[in-house]
Amino acid sequence: MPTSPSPTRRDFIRAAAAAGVAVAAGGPLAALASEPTKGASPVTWVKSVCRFCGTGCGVILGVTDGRLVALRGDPEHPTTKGLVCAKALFLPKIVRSKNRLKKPMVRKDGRLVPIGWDEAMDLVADRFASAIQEHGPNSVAYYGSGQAMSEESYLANRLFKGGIGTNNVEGNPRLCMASAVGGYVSTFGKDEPMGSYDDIDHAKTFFLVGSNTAECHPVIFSRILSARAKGEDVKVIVLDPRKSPVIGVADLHLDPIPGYDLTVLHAMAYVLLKEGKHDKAFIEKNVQFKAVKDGKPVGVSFDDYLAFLEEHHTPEKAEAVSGVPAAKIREAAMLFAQGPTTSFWTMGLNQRTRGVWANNLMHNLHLITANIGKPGATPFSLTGQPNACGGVRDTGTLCHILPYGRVVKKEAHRQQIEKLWGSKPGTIQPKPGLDTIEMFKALGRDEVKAMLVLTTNPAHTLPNSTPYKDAIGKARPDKPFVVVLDAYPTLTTEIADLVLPAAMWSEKSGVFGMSERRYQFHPKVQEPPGEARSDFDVLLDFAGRLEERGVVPKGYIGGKFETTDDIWDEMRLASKDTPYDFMGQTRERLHRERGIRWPTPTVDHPGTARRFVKGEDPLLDAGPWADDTLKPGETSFYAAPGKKAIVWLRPALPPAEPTDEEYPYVFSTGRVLEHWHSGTMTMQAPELKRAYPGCFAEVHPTDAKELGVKTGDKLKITSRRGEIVVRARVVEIPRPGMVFAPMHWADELSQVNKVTIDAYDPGSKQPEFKICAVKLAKA
Amino acid sequence: MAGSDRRQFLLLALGVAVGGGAGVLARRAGIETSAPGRPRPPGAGAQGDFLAACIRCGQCVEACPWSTLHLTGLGDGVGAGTPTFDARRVPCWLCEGYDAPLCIEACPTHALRPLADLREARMGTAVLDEATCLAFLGTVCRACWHACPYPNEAIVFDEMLRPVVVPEVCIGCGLCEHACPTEGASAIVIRPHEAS
Repeated sequence: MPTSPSPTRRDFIRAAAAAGVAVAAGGPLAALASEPTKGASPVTWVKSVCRFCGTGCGVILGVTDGRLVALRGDPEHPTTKGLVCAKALFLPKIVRSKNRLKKPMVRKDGRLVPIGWDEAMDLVADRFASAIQEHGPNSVAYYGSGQAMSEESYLANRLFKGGIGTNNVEGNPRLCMASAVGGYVSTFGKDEPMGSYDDIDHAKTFFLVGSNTAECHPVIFSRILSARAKGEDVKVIVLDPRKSPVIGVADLHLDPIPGYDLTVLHAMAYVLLKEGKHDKAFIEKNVQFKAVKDGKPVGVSFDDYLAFLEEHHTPEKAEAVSGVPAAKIREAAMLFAQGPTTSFWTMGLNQRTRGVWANNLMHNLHLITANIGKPGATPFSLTGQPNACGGVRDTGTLCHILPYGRVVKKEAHRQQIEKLWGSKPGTIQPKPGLDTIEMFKALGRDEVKAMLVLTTNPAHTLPNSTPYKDAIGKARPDKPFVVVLDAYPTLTTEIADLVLPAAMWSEKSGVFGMSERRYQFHPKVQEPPGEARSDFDVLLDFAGRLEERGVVPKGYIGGKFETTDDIWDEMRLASKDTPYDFMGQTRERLHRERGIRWPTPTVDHPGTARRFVKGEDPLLDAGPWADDTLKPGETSFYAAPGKKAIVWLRPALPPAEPTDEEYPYVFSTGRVLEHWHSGTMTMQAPELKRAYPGCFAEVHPTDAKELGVKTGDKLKITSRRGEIVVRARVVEIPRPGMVFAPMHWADELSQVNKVTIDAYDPGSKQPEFKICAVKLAKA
Repeated sequence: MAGSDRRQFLLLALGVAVGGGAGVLARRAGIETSAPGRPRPPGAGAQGDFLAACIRCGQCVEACPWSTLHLTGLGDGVGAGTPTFDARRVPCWLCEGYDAPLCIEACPTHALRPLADLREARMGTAVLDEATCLAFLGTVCRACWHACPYPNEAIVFDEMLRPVVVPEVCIGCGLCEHACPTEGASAIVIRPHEAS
């Protein structure tokens, strides 16, 4: 790293301010504002939230004559402070792309042809109703998205689980966040991080694991950089087989063989215990230890934990398995112990067949050192979508859960929700529905007869995508009916039976809930193009037509809600007396404030930076978990059994598909800063498209030499499931033996998910996108 | 051409007319053969030597598989008819996938000299304008770093993870200029090497 004049916090603020003025002051981005306005009309600036990742950057939208013409960072935003990334700047262009879907289209003789909305919705309702009548409610399915608004996911969940009576309700967060959910739930009793972005400003050690924060959550990373620039005593540890741009600020980099990092986390815990860096009093009061024996969780002791680590996970044993030198593991543990430590992780841990366990092991480190519930100390899973947390995890829009921490398996939970929704008692099934992979497998077997896909692109993003693309689109007698609602053409709309044009985020009002439990309102600032409608509107219409056909009780949804505002109060009620309590987040407050972090039990409560901490978490002051024996600053894991979080003794199992002689390389996928997911939005901005015109594969120079591959050569990457051909980029970023390619391009040769594996975590059902075995050849 | 007198003007006119010979004449006459405002193909080396050796045959332009190169017009004076490129439009892709840059192989006079390593292809140097670079304006962007054939060497990050060019390593391919997502002109532009 070359040194430039040492930046300071002031620089950060100045930079943030500069971002704020860039558009308004006629800087290089003024074109964004001036291009469609033709001079005369004034620009009105409206507070909103970015459409992209789970960072949840506050933005201000510039609107002229009812059109979104500009976007800038919101300097008043409490956590992102005016920063945005390059993707966000181009949102106005992306929204007004000429490629937007504007008319419903139905497939006739293999081709998509225009159809009227009324006819289209009748077709959807007929196909769903006849499937339900002939084959029962479990013959239909919903596949939603962490990009739909909370109200939309909640409404879909309400319709399918409590109206139609099927738990076949899934969404793309299964592909990205399910293991984090499993980790939080199995360790702390309930989902979602206890800390917040505030902790970034107080942490002395950052532990970044399986997260290219610099590119995938660039604004979070900028905050880490600012924290680090404040003083020499802030350290960054990175555990990742790739030298992604985060390495630029790492004090210590541990690069495990992909899939063999669990033992490294255990070994760090071992060092912490052996060196006496654990907090005995905290453990005594707040922590219990568990292992799984004969398929059942059993309580064990601290000594059992230590013996388990001693037997299997000393740094030397971890080195033998992971390839990470024991000395580095010791060093990492000691840096971790210095604290306060904030850990961030994403898909490198979650997209694994042992994703839940990996998450547990992260929590273990924080629990044994009491690096939790204090400023700067928290285990924090970052989210990749703007509303995976608030919209899907919290509203319970997955096959096994119900709103706000409830599960379908518990009778009391089902009854509470049936009562709230006005469902006929017994409508919500006690058995979880099909999880994502099983749902698409069932679609391929024609067992799911009708599916609604909403604001996501499974033909591109499911692992081992080829058979699932066939499931969605392959012509066959009595083919299941797949309807897709989207704003842009995607690989999924290309093969769907019916395509409905959707409104984009700036064309509808609703709430996004980002990684730190902050619910933020984004307003409608313009009309959607052509005949496009919001997901909410389409779901209401759909529900009404199902009621007409007698497969959903009359008046169950029809007549109850017209707008997302209407349903919000019911959602608040659903959260009452749960750890998610946001009764105090009235619509009026959300309009006015820059997001509020739950729990927020009352309208005068400012929101919660740290859960489970007396004096900060309002649920420890009043309600079912109130505890007056605690002193301010003391922790109570009230959602966990016995109010004690669980340190799990998890075995360190290998990935589902280890490398072998035939497939000797590890293939891993990810993102670049300027693109997002399947690229259907970011590729609409010519500037972003040009920044990354095509897919590439990073190959380590050692491997490149062996393969005779140079930068720019075409590289064939073949797994047991499929192959892609992309340009090689010989660079010392992946670990030797590993090849990495981003996921954003849709052309046949670049669809990385033709190669990835659909094996999934038995607990979280999240697939192992990050690791599979491939062979490489110059093409 | 500021300060050019009648004698220089004549020499320049001659230069345009007779091509490469003018470069030699110009050098002998001590005239500053100012570089065109654009970078040169790989292997061009020092500006004066290149102008002397280039016979304006255009074979490098023909050979370029990406249509990156074009010949300069009369406005370039003594350099008229020599190859250059506009990286914002099409950068030099370094003949990815070929053994060596095809323009060098096509050059009949070795005005474009064979390179032992592409790192010697000094086409120009990237210059970053902090006033228009998104990263310096507080937007998080790293497109140039990612486009760079020598990331972490020719383009590195400062402590705020903003891009910084290392001129000693930069080969001037212009992949960064091409990738930069600013609207209109790029915030990072290849400047030709100074005349020698």
